[in-house]
Amino acid sequence: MKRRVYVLRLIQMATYVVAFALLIACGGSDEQVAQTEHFAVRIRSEAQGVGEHDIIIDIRERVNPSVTVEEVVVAPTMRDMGMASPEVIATADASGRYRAKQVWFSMGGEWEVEVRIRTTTFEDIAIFRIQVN
Amino acid sequence: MTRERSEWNGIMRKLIFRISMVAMVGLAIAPALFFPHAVHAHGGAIEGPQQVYTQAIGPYEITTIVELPPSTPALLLVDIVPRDDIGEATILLRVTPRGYSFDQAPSTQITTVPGPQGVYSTQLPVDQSGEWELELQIEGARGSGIARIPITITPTPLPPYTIPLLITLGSIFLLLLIGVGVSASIQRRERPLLQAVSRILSYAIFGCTVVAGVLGVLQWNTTAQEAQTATNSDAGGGRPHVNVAMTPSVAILQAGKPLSLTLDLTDGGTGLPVDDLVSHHEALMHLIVLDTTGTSLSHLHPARLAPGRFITEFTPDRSGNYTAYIEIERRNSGTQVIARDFSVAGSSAAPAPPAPGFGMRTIAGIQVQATSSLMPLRAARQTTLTFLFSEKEQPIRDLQPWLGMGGHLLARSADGATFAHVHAAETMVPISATSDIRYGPTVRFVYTFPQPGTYQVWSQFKRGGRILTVPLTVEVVP
Repeated sequence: MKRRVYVLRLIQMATYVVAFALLIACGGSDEQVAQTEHFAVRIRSEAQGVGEHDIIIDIRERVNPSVTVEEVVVAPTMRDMGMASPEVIATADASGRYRAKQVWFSMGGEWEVEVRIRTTTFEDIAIFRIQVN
Repeated sequence: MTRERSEWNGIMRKLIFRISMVAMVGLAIAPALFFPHAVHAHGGAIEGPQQVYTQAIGPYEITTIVELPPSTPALLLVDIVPRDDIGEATILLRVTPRGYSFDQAPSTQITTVPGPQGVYSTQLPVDQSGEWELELQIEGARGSGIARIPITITPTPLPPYTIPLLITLGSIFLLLLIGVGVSASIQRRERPLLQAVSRILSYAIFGCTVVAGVLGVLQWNTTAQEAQTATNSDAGGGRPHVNVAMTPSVAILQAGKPLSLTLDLTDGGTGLPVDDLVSHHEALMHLIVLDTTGTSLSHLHPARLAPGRFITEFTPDRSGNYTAYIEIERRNSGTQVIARDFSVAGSSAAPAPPAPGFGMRTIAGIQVQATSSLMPLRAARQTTLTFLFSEKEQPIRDLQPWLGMGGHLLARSADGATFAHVHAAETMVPISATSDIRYGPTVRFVYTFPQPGTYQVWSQFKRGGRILTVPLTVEVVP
């Protein structure tokens, strides 16, 4: 009898935990990944609302590991409105990760953010969509 | 005594556990319940309960803010915001279902007072959903005018899971209350029946909590899907082009003589009047009139008179050739610009010298420094044009939002092939007429000039109810 009660309690708790985890999971993640011809690009955006936000960019070479990235430019555009924000040149930190500082999002809605990766010989563009509240 | 206390503590722990679990699920589903409609922030067509229409009604530029009721019968709330001092004028408002006469329509009247203008609020009864027209008739010292604004009252249905969700949450609350009573009874007298009831209640609360959680997730998903569908349909771009017939009120247009321009919009596919325009940037229509020398610029918002018919007053300030750019947005179809050329007769005055390039200039007593992030400007390269405002060597920080933006920039290539309407890359406001936000001392515009050549540029800002226009001539190199 006691054992059955324990099992029932356990199932009850597990269901609560699963339901809660499901609800939390609905919140989504602010990390996105895109692949270009030569690179795998991962961005993490802190853009939660209207204003200036940093965007952190991880770039991994897919084809030729010896390629040197000359410049990384972040260009946000609000397509619905026909509006662009100033492009920002991202700076690399010690770990090789790039940070585009104070990227300007002037309104809520879906922004298209281009990450342009320039090398001496070619330019790749990764496109992301960021929802600004 | 110790046993009783221990039992009591056990009951309380159980109760706190139940309440905290229910609160946790409640918190998780609250957004789905209380914020069912995802807001698609779109500075263009604002498809919300508040609709904004800026129109030149006769000689007066008036912004009308209409708050659509979610159901009928109800009161239609209307705010009237004159752009500048219109003196003492009477504004008669009437509302009627589309196609009905205004004779028997409910009406209300506003009398404006001279001086700085605020918001005049009024309300009109509406008794059914569907298509309506709101009429504004203005009489004042400067003249009179009329506009008829189309509005659609759509009852807002409750999201499908709202009622079951509310019933479930109500049940949880009720069961918790009963549970408290039963627990207290158990503490007083130990009865097997009460214990059984307590257990059943426990299972019922558990069941209701799970159901509420599932319903919350379903509601969240449904609203997210609806928002996605709305976004997709917004970008649909499925309606035909618009033809515009522009008719001046006089046969021969003379410089310095006021006239009215009537614009008849017809559907490129059916030939029928176009009456599905949505307010974008706070107006149904933006009419930009430029002369070919770039000396004369008018940014007008014609008033709608009837389906497909708009009218505005206009005074050409010099003779020569003009182009009227008509910027409109059909529902679910994006913005389109239609150009119409016309000529103005009169003694041909020598063309004014072209506007200066980047640098400092004084306009209406205000110093404006225009700069570019890219010098020289290059075709197909993005640039940020920045305007820095000061007055008596003090930075200006009280620029007002105009048509939802911190400023508007119009640009035209010398050959007329490119026409641009750029919005300030500053914080956008949902409804500028009632906003307290102020801009300055700098306002930026981000634009990529598509072709090399000479461009005439006009940036427009609002301060103290007046529009400040800053002309500029720029060279774009390949």
